[in-house]
Amino acid sequence: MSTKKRFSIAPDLASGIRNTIQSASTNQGQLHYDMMSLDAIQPDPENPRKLSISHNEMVHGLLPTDPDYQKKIKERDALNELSESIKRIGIRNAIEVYKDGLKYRIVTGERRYWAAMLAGQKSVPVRISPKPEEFNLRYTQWVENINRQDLSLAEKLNNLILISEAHKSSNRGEFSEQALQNLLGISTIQAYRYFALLNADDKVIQLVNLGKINNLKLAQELCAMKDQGARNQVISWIRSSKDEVTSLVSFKESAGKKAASSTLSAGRSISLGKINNAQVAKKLFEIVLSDIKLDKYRHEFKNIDWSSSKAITKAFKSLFKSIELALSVEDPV
Amino acid sequence: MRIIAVVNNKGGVGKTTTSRFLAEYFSIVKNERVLALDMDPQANFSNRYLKMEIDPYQQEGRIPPIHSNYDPSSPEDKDWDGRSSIAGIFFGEMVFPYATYIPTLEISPSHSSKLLLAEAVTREEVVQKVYDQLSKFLALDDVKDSYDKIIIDTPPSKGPVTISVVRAATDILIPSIMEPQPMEGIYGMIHLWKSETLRRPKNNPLNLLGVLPNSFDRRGIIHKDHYDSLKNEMPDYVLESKIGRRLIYAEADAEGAAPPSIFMYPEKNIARQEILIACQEIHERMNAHVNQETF
Ligand SMILES: Nc1ncnc2c1ncn2[C@@H]1O[C@H](COP(=O)(O)OP(=O)(O)OP(=O)(O)O)[C@@H](O)[C@H]1O
Ligand SMILES: [Mg+2]
Repeated sequence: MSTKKRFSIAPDLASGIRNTIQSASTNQGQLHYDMMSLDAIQPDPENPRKLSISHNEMVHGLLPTDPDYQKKIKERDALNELSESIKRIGIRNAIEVYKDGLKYRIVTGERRYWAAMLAGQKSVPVRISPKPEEFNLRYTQWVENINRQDLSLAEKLNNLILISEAHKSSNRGEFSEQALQNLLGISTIQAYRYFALLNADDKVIQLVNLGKINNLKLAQELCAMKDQGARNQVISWIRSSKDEVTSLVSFKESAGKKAASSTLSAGRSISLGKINNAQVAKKLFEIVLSDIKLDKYRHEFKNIDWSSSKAITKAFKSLFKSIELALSVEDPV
Repeated sequence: MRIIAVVNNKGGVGKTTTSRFLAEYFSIVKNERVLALDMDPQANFSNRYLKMEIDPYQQEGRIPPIHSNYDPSSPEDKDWDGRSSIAGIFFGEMVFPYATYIPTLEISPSHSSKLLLAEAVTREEVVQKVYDQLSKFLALDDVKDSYDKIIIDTPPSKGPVTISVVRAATDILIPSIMEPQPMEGIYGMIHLWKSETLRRPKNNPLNLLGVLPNSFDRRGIIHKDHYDSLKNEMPDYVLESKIGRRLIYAEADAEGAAPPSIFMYPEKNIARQEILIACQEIHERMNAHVNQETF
């Protein structure tokens, strides 16, 4: 038997070597990182998340008389914060660009680009990709934008319009609610609301673009109102309001008349009593769910544990929510 | 034109020795037009082919000798001091390669203080310039039309000068001794290769020719065990050939050695055969990567 000492590379060094080799071979030619002069980079003029503050204003300051003063101050402070961090630690995530004529155009990272400029950087790390297909470009911007809390409904809407147009012109099939839901990974209700907003008429879109409506649910409710008279009343009320309108409750109060939908005023609700037999509950559930208007919600109630009272109660709660939603859409007045 | 960089940030592992073997293999054995570049301030590579001089301002430093084409009486040369080094590319100077005792081998030597200066830059914009300078020089039509192979010896570091070499190269080779310390140098170089690989577009890859075991001791087990262990982690990138530890290599390294090149020894010479086999394997590995630069 041999007792000779054997040698080998230290385990962490060995795994380091293995991983590095693997990562380089799998990513060869996929990612193209480089340092690029800021002069060579251009923001995408169609990126829905446009900054309201201009480069000139960033450098030379803002006028307090500017109608967008508050918004711009907020933007500038956020950019300054980012720019300070860039001065200290540089840009950690490369800005994604593609070649467009003589320059490179930004896919993602517009804020990093402006902040780097504020920080006085001459060049920034970039990841150069081939020119993305229009649809993927818009989709990527949506994903980047949607993670930002301060994105307005108007900005989201504009991004969505670009996505839907790119979707239609790229043979991806019908741009349906379902497609939207799958694509963006949002709930059925969110997809339903966005879809309604996409198909909204000019009046609603105008309110959104003016910033009077910044709430998706409200915009969708407005789209769904069938009673033209009531709808026009609400629209002109919103248009004349000084600030952003967040719900219709205040309209109902200010108008002092019957609510625009049959929901009870805030804070009040009806108790539907108690059932002791799970079978009865199940039967009741099935009858209600068989209503044609609830078609689109049916798949949400497939896996209910009928042996757990907790689960049943929960299921009823969300069923009621769906009913309310379905009816508010179909039958607002 | 292929550009082969010999790299390892650990010192004394055989970078300069390997660079010499490659330069002499392609020029003497393959009869190709070779340009040797010495990017190391130590100037060891240059010393083998030129009589480098002591820098009058810096005792440790070396400067190239006066170029044979230099004519102080000619008005053309009035703005030139008669010395030319590859370090000149970092200072906007013209580069005039020197002839060597091998007809198809030319060298653009080191210049210690200039290379140290380029290596020491810290300002971001200047660093970026240094990174790109060698690529720009080697992309000149004059250079591309004049040589088949460029062989670059590098300093034992991962600084800006080494990065400029890696950026310019089409192929890199990592000579190493099969011992724990130099193994870490291999890891450092593979990292550098990976970053550069991620930086490059698909049509211009940086080929990793692999690790060449040097000073290999076939009798003990430490080198063999480390070799097997490394081969296990990166099977495609460890060369089969090994260069043994032999006095003759150190001797051939000495000034005034006769004969001056290993390829001028008799064909039966074991050391010469060993080096020939290693160079052939490297050559084959280069050919396995069909590089667009070849055409
Ligand atoms: N296989 C070998 N057998 C014997 N001596 C060798 C061998 N390889 C290199 N040497 C000697 O070891 C010393 C270091 O080698 P070399 O100069 O090639 O290493 P290097 O990596 O270029 O070093 P540095 O990092 O300092 O530039 C030299 O004196 C050289 O002659
Ligand atoms: Mg050396």
